[in-house]
Amino acid sequence: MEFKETLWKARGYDRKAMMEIIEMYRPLMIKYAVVNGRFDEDLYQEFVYTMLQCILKFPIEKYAQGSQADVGLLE
Amino acid sequence: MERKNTDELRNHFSAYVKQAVKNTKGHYLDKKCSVERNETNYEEELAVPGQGIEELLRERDFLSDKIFHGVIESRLLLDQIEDYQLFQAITSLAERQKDVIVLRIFYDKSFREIGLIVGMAEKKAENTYYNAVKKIRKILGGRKDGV
Repeated sequence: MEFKETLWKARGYDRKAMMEIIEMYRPLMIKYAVVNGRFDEDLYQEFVYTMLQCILKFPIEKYAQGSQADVGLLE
Repeated sequence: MERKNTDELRNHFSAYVKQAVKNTKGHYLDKKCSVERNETNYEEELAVPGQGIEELLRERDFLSDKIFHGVIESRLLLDQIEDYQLFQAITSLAERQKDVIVLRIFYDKSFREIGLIVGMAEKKAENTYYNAVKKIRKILGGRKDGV
């Protein structure tokens, strides 16, 4: 599936698509969740929450022209 | 062309996520630091440097002895109250009520002992205490079970 399509689905609260994007960025979150050489589970959870916010708040219209029409997810 | 657009979108999204994650980490660490700074271990707080628990207990007993001779170190004890409103409420009480409150709460004395120390009947000491508590409650604006 194209990234754009997945992102649009995730924005429509599609759980599978949301999980897919979170999985995609898991390594990044793990990397930043290491504090003083130790993995901080709480911080990682904060990152997952941040990811969900990013998915919903990312100004997709600014970067993808006509994407909604392309994917055909909106009625 | 479409492929390029998607990649571009993905790059933008990655940058967006990375920045958000960095910001989250900054806020999280700031919060954690401030909590750690303002938090003191209960036992550490009790232990005055160079003084063991036993010494503190001895000092408390010494103060307890002193109050039987009419000396009540209420000022020192009241200074430990951190809640400003509560401190004001207690300091606004009459001298007698303040003594009874300090003896009852800080020194953990019975009403009989309080009566002996301040020179009043046991029943009167009890009444003074409950009147003082009622007054504090009124000042703090709490209900009967609110304080």
